[in-house]
Amino acid sequence: MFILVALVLAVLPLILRNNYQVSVLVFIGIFTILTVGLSLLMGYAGQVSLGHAVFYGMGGYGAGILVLRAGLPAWAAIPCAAMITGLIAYVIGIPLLRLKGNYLAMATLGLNIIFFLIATNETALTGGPNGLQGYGKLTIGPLIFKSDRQFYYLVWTVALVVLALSLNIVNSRVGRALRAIHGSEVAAETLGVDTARFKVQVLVLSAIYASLAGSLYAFWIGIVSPGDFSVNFSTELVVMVAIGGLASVWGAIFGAAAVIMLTELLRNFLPRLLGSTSGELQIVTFGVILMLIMIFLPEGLTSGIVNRLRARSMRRQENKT
Amino acid sequence: MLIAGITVGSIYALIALGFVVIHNVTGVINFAQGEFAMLGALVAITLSEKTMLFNRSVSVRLEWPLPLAIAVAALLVAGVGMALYRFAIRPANTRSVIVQIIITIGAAIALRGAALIVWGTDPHRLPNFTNGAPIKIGQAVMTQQDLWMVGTALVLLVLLYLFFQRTLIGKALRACAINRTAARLMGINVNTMTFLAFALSAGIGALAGIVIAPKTFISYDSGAFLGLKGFVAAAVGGLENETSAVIGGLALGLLETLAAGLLSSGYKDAIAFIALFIILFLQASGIWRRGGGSRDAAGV
Amino acid sequence: MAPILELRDLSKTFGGIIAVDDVSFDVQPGEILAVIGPNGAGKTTLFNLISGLYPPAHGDLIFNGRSLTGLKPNRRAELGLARTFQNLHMFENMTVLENVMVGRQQRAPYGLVPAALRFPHVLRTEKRLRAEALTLLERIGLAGRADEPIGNLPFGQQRMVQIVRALAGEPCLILLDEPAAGLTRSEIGALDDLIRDMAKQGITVLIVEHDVPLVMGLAQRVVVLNFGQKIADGNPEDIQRNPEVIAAYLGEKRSLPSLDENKVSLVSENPQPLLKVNDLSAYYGPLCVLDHINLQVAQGEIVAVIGANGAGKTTFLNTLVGLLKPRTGSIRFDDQDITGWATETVVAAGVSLVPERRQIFSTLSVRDNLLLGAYMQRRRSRAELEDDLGYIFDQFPILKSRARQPAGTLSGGEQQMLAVGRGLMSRPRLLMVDEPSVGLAPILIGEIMRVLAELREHGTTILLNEQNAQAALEVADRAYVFENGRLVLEGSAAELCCDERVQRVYLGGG
Repeated sequence: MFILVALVLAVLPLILRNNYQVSVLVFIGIFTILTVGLSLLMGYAGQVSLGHAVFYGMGGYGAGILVLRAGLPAWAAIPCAAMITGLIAYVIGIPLLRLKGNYLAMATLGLNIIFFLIATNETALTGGPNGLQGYGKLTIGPLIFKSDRQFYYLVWTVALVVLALSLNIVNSRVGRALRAIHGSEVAAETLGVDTARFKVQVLVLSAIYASLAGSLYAFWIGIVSPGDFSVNFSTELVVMVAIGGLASVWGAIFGAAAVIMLTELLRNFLPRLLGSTSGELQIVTFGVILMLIMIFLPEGLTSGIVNRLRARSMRRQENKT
Repeated sequence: MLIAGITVGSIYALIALGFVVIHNVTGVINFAQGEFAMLGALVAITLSEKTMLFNRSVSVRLEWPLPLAIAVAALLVAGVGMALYRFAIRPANTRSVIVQIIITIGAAIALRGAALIVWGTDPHRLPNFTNGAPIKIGQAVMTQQDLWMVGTALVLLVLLYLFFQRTLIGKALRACAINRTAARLMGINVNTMTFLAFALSAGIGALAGIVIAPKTFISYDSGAFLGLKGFVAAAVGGLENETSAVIGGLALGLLETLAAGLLSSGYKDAIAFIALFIILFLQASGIWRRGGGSRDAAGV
Repeated sequence: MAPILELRDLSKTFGGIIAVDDVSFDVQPGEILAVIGPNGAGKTTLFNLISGLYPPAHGDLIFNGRSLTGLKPNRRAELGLARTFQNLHMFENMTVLENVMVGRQQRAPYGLVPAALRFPHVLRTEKRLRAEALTLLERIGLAGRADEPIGNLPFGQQRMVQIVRALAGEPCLILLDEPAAGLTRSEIGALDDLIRDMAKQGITVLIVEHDVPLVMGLAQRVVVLNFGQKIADGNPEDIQRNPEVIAAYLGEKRSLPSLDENKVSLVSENPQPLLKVNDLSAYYGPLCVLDHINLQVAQGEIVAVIGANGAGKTTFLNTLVGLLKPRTGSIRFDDQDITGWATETVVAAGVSLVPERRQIFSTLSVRDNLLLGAYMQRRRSRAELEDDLGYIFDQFPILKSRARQPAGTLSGGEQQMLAVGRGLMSRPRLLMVDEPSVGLAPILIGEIMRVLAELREHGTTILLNEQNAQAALEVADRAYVFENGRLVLEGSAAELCCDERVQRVYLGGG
């Protein structure tokens, strides 16, 4: 399965002629890295995070700042930013993850907003509301990453690595421990699962993933501004994970793809239908779709559809006998 | 400065109350609470002023008298609240916190988007309820609108207090929150009560938005910040205690105005969230709850 | 030999209620020790303290010579202390095998990084974990269903998987919290075998259980708790004969006015029963909690439903009032079929339930609680409501003096009176009271029963659930005895009062 997807991805840009389409795929790749991490956190470990964009932003701003202010070369700035983000996630995570449910959700939201405010106000460090730019291109050895196609391969390589690592984790005792925590934290504790430690671990991991995504984004687009890491984006991430399936690593790709395709669809086709209200309609549609999915398919699209199909085929078998 | 703090604080207090009412009766945290405030204001504006809707393509000139517009707006938004319960929350029938949160987030997004379609990105304002000379109280000066804000908040709070403490229905609502099963044994129809809770919450939220509309411009995305701050205020009381929510709202308003004076105004919003963190962590460590935790804390 | 577990002056309070009161005893390695006691005695709280779900108010726990104070549950599990729960707590999002693997994996630790990178020893460990978990499932005959979602299994089998899951960590001491609850007789047999197996392997077993034959057959030693205190400690035969234990379960024999034979004739005058229950069965998911119950209550009687904890008495009343929908059977009230009616409508028809554990509205005042009791009749005039309040206050003078206080500040006994008063405010035709004596001192129990008798004089029909058989039989006209969701005995109160079979239902033996 994995190899199939990798092959398809490798071949895709050669088929597509349109650069625009390639860039859409790059976006999907970046968002996949984000959603896989969030899926581990929310879907498997069951910890609500409405502020995940904060780690994305730390990666983006972190890389840019390290290049501009600390003079690091781009290829070193990315892992550095990731490590710093991971550290911050660790330090915040220990007290943060003692909160449950709604309180955790609100705390993560607050975290995101504070980050947003710092990014907007600390102009000397972050370039203020207009954003940070001028940190140059990403170079790894002799390779200078300029074109969409180059970024496509880079981003998807990282995405596939992240995917592989996450699948391994999910199928290991760590994944089971996370699902146990989600299933019944009390029972997990009495079976020897150190719930606090696992929760923090998965938070740090998803934060590192998000940071990598943010750094890649920064070097691709060339500018990072506070608006890219707002609470709205965090919400969009949650939508992607929810649509794809909260507890499904593959669902993460699907969710990211679905949301972006939908956005593109609305952006391109709706003006032809309704004049120029596409942007607003997209927002409303998002909201309505989100609600509908949560109401009827709370396990998300992938698992939800799979379960429904399985149930229907079992019923058909029963009717035959 | 004190006056300014109390003024804005009373708005937060009202929105906080909306959160508490819904949470108490249903256990749901309504992420769309701020949107009720926004809708209330915008609907009231549309009913009473000449407004351009749908991207300047439709002009509405109802120009109803302000009190009528306000009343109708509050009732309409109360209806939206009931619809939210009936069509989004009740059908989901889930106990998963994540799913409930996402549903109300979805609703907030949808409402925001709908508002965007109808009213566009233009900020709108209500005129001052009364025009007249500012009032001097001791050393401070209050505009008449400020008085309306605080006054309305006060009146609403008193009315709500009386409702919850003195009327049987109000007590029945509280009973649903305290012990749903026992409430049913009294013959209380919890479903009806939930509708009422949502309607009440939405209505209060709408009035909060209406009352602040003359002072600040309201646009389609005003709900987000208002909702967030209201939540912080409500969180002070653990989302359970109406009085603490009010105190929280006032405290937040005061803190914010103080901070705006001391720090750069860009960070004044951050105060709310820093306060939130402190409160949440204190709560998580159980300092504010009496006794050493509850028997059901372990969920066994 | 040094004890494997020592409890020293263990205490725990919740709010103002003392759940566990200075409990001390030792557990010897390899023994099977049962902890029994009436409802509310503090048994589950004790287990929660031992497994570390919350800290004791004071006291200490010594496990294998080391103090457990401050250790989190997962640390205690690592040290060899395992436990199961009354409410399964299975990991619904996993298969049967995966559930057991979670229990096993503390014996095969590897970290996040090796897992992510899939080191060869990770793969080997996973294989080993799977094999070991499968072997454990074979012991209970469920290896064939290893890869099904745990939710597919019937309740009894899930229970067995839960125990095996806890055993997978190779504990030296295991706490079993009501493992037989909800099991069929044959499943209990399998459970018995499993526990004996454990003991043979040298695992110490601490078991809380209400199923008397199971406990008395298995346990070498029995500790009895009542009101959070240890009242007896000895071998099963001695415990069964211990008068204090018998009194704790069945209630004290008191010298009250003798039962009035005339009452019996009142019943036979009225041929049409007020409440008629036919063949009622109810389920919690796959678990049968009520099994073809037939019962009736005539107007003006007090009928008692007695039986041990977990017998289904509360489930029965909950089904009558509409909180639980029955699967088969019918309920007729006042010649109306009320089967499957919603609670609000049942209450409106004239049935009132005073629920188990009172469930008063603790933050509302005493007066408000009573007024809410009359919610259904809110069209009544002010004067009528005041009259009703007055009547309640006459019956329970203590409530009058506390009318404005928040109900949560009342003592246990006062809260019980408030709950009964609240139930009466709706002027019900049938008043159902669920275990009013739980947690009350004997004097107060007498008070409550006296009030119920007086209510009968005034024409209220009462259906009374009681664990305390003695108290119930002294005031009731007739009684039914429940066991495991089934009706096993019925008769007049006078007959059952002296019937040894009743005692056996609670304590076995004889």
